[in-house]
Amino acid sequence: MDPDQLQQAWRAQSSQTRVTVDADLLRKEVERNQRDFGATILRRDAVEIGVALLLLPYWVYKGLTSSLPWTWWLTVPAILWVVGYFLADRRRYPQTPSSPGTPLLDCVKNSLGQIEHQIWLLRHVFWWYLLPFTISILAFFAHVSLQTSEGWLEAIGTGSLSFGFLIALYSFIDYINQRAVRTELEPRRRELLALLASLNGDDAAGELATTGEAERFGSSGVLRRWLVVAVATLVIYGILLMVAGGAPCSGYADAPRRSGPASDWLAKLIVDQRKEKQLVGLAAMVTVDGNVEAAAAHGERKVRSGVSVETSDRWHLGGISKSVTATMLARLVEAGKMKWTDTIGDAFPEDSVHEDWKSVTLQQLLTDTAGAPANFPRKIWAQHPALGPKCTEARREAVLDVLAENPASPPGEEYVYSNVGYTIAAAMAEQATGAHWEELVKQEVFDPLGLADSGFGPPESGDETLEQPRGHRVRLGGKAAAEDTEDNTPIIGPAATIHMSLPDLCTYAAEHLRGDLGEGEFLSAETYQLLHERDFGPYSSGWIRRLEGDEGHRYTVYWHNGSNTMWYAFVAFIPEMKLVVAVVANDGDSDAAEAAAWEIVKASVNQFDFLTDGRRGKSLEGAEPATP
Amino acid sequence: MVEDDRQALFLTWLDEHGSSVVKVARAYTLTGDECQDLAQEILLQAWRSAPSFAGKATAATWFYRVALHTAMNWKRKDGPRRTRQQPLLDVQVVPADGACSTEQVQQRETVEQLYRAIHQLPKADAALVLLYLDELSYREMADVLGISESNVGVKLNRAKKALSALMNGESHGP
Repeated sequence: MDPDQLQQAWRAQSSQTRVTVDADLLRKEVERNQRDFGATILRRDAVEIGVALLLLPYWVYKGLTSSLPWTWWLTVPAILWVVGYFLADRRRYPQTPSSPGTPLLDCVKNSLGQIEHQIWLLRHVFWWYLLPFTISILAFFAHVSLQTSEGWLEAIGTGSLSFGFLIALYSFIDYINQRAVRTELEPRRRELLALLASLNGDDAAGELATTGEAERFGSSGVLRRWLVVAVATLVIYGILLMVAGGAPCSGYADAPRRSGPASDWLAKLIVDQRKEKQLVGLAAMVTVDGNVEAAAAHGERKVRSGVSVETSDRWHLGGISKSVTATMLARLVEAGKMKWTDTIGDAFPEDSVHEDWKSVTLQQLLTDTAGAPANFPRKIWAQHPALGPKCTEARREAVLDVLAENPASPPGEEYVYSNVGYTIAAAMAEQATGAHWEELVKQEVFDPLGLADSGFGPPESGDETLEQPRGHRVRLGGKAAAEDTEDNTPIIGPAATIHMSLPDLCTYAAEHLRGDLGEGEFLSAETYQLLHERDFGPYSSGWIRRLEGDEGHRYTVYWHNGSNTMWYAFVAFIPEMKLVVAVVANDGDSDAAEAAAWEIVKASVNQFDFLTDGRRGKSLEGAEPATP
Repeated sequence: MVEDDRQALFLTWLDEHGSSVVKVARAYTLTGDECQDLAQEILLQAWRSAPSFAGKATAATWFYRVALHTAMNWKRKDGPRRTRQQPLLDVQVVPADGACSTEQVQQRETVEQLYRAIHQLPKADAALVLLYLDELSYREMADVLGISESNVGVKLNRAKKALSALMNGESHGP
């Protein structure tokens, strides 16, 4: 057909076409369209940048208000990097469509440039977006796993879970992005390239082939990415182990704190023992006949804080609380408010109490021969009621739950070290007096003995000021500082939650020492004898007694220790030497701290042995400590 | 007042060149609904970019640029959005007075055949053919497409050959 004929037919058809437009509607539609466009841009920006910017204050707030590992903060530069990169990219490659009124070739080139840049961004989303977050979050996960794991197996397990979670999440994000490239951007790019080629001639064919290279991003690229992540993970673990592991206070070099006329040997011993046992902080006090002969403290109140422990600091006593509770109960007995023969059946007449419990006496509870189980169920440990009526009520309920079941062993026949027994005894006292356990302890022990630096729970110690030491957990990566509120449940407070300063602990033990010698003024000699004697095994009412000759001991030693897994405390008195030794550590490594404590006891005996009339020359050589 | 002037000017342009909107829309779509959607989209884009019309090109050239640019970027998935709107434009075919009905039918058939052929051409060739059929000069075509006049000549020859082949193939087909 002749081209002119085609033009003629076309022209004739065009001349018959009338187009009428509703101008008002068109204007309104444009306005609506522009609003929609603006909303779309705003939504896109809000999603891509706004979320990150909102995440930033949340991250900072959470970091400031929670006690999180320092690696938490690594995500802040990661967020800033991503936002910064995004804004810089927007500025350099603005995603504005070209005006429809420009020549077609220019429009196509502009669109192609934008599409190719978008493809580049999405293809490399792993490097500029995912990798910074991967590294920072992996570091945080690794840090947490090191802080919370007690063994390599657990750490590797936790780490692997975190790693797997990140791989799954980021693979999914990566998949979404690559799918968008494959299904939306690449077809559009090919279309634009074809258009460009037909407008430009064949020159663009080469360009098509060249840019097509970018499409090939096969399995080697994916492997490279995860290889980078795996290497980054290993490096992170290595750095964290170097930073957190090893000696807990490797950078700490302060001189030991000391007091007392003969403190040189103790200060040296404390420094040596703390370093050898890798304890965060270690302190000890030795008194003879009630006088402080030596006191020394070395280490930090909080690991890597640089703040030194002092001989006057307060320390969590753990199980030594049992002795204090027993002493408080002895005071109530002497005051006629209770009797050693009081039974559980008398104190708790509830029908729910199992028959086998009813005849169990207060004295059996304090000597751990009541048949009480060692500990409460896990659900009780999870409760943290405030001291006072709530705690007393919770304690009563926990005790009644235990008493509703059979005793763990026949009462009076077997020794079982028990937190439950002391809690039952305290609940009986609360029942008898109407007062709370902590009020009774303060009223019957702290105040009469002048123990002004004693209290309940861990000593208060703010992050900024660190007025007192903090407890530390043993973790694979070293020692992790605990919050100053972390402790056993206060329900078992009578067995495990009192804190004291070293002078207070020595004062308390010295009173028991005097009582054992029949010189006590706080309780009668009979009561002291009852508190210190044993029925079964090594345990009396809050004291473990090793007679002279037992397991090689040359003196009779009364001692007790305790730990809530974040602290360790040890106290011993030797009546024959009028010697009291108290050793404390803000470190949950009980084995290491106990070994240090016995070293200090042996050294103290050797140091002050000459003061013992008629016993000069005795030593504790060959006397190994027994497990309490 | 300014807005009213803009509206009046736009409507004048539309009166003169509105048919190109419909032709481009039809050339780049396959169904009547899609054609209506694309035509409305072209109108929206034209209205929006009218203030940036600097007068360097003629109104006809400018209209073609907007129409072709919109058509190249138009996606079928935009369709459902447009169908929810009220129609912005109405297209009517008014038979010419005194024209022989046989000739009209023949011309209509030729135009239908042309559209079918254009649908089979690459997008850039389709654009060239549309401009050619609307009797734009090489200079104007070069302005619309952003390529040189000589390039227009080369490409138009090629496009016309392709168009002829398609037209002949169709007319001699079974």
